[in-house]
Amino acid sequence: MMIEAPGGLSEYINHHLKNLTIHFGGGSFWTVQLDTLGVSVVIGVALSALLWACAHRATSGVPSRGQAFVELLVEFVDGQVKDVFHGDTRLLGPLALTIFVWVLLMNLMDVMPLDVIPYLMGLAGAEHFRAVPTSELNTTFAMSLTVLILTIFYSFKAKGASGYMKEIFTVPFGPWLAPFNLLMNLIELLSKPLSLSMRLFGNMYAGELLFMLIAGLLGAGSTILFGLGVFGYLAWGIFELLIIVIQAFIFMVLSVVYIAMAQQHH
Amino acid sequence: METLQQIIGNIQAFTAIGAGLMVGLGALGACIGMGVMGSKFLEAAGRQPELMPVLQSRMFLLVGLIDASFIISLAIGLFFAFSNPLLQAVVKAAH
Amino acid sequence: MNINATLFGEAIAFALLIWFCMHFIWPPLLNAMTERQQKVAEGLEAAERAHAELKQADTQVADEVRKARQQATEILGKAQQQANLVMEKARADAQAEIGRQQAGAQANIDRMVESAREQLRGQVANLAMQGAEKILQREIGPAAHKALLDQLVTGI
Repeated sequence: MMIEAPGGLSEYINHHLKNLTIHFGGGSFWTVQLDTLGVSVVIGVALSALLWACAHRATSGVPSRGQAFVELLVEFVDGQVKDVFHGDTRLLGPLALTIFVWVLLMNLMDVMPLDVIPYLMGLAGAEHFRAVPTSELNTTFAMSLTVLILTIFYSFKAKGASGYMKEIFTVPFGPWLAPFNLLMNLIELLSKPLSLSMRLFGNMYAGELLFMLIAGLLGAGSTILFGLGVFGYLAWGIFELLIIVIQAFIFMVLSVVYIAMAQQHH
Repeated sequence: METLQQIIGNIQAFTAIGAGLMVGLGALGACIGMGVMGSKFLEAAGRQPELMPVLQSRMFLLVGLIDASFIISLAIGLFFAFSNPLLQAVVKAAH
Repeated sequence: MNINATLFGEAIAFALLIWFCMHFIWPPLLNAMTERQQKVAEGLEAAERAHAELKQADTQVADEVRKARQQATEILGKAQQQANLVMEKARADAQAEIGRQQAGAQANIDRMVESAREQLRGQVANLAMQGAEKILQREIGPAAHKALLDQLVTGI
C-alpha cells in the first residue's frame, strides 16, 4: 500500500508525519489536529459504548461472554490498583481502566497497515492524516496533565492545604532549605507527567517511524529488499504488539502509583 | 565564506552523527540493563519458581520502563534524521 | 510534534471518558462481581455447613445405634437374670413343696401306722379277752392251754 511520494523515502515519511489541522488564527498554538482528536474521540466513544453495553446488563448470575471478558479486564485492573493503593478505589479504578483500554486501543492503531487509513482519508479529501493518536505529544501530554491535576487534587485532599504546603517547603531537607525544597518538589512533580507522556509518545513515535522506514524497503524496487521489508514489517509488528500492551500497562500502573503516592504522608 | 550547501552539509553530518550516537548509545544502555534484569529474573525464578507470575508481571513493567528511555532517544534521533528542524530553519532563512 | 490546542481537546475527552467510566461502567460491573463473589462464598459455606451437618448426623446415628445395642444387651442380660431368678425361685418353691408333701406323707404314714397299731392293740386286747373267755369257759389243760397260746401268738 505504498503511495509513491515524489521525493523518495524522506518525503514519504515527512508526508506521513504531517497532521490534518485546522487553524483558529492567532498564532500556531491555536491549531487543532483533527486527525488526532478525531481518532481518539471515535475510539473513546466506541469503547464507552462497548463497555456500557456489557456493563448495564451486568448480572451477578451467569455472565454472558462479553460481560465475562469485560469482567476479566475489570478484575485485572482492579487487582493492579489494589496492589498499589489501599484505600478508596472508586476513582482510581475507573481511571486505570479508562487509561489502559483507551491507550491500548489508540496504540493498536499503530499496527494497522500504515497507508490504509491515510489513503481512505485522502479519498475523503484529507491531505494528511496520522492515524495513531498516541504518537502525538498532545495526546499523551493531555493525559499526563490530567493525571498531574488529579495528583495535586488528591495531595490537597489527603493532607489539606497547610499540610501539603508544609510538605512542599520542608521535605526532604528540612525547613532551613525551604526554597531548595520547593525547587526539588516542583521538579519531582513536573518530571513525573513529563516522563509519563514522553515514554508513551516516544514508544509510539519510534514504532510508527520504524514502520515507515520498513515500508520504505517495500517501495525500493528490488525483490530482495521487498522480501526483507515484508519480513521486517511482520517482525516489527509482532514486537510492536508487545510494546503496545506493555506501554498501555505501564501508563496505567504509573498513573495509579503517582496518585497513590500523592495520598501518602511523608 | 561558507556557502549554503556547506552549511546544510555540516548540519546534516552532525545530525547524522548525533542521531547515530543517540540510537547506538541508547541501545547499548538499554541492552545492558535488560540483560542484567533478565538474568536476575531467571535466577530468581530458578530459585523460587512459585514467585514466577508476580516476578513476570514486574519484569514486563520494568522492560517497558527500561525500554522507554532508549526508545525515546531512538524516536528523537529518527525525528532529527528525517525531519530536521535545525536544517529547516536554515533552509527557511535562506529563502 | 508541537504542543497546540489539541491538548485541551484530548484532556477534555480523557476527563469525559474517566467520568463516564466512573459512573456508568465501573460500579455496575464491580457490583455484579462482588455480588457474585458473595453468592459463591455463600454457596460454598452452605455446602460446607451441609457437609458438617451430614457428618454430625452420621456420628449421631452411629452413637444412637451403639446406645441401642448396648441397651438391648443390657435388657437381655436383665431378662436372663430375671429368668434365672424365677427359675431359682420355682425350683426352691418346688423343693419346699416336695419337702412339705414328703413330710405330710410321712406324717400320714406314721399316723396310719399308729392307728393300725392302735387298732391291732385293741384287737389283741379283744382277742385276749375272747381267749380268756374261751379259757374260762372250757377249763382247758396245759396242752390245750399251750395250743391256745400258740394260737394267740400267731394271731398277733
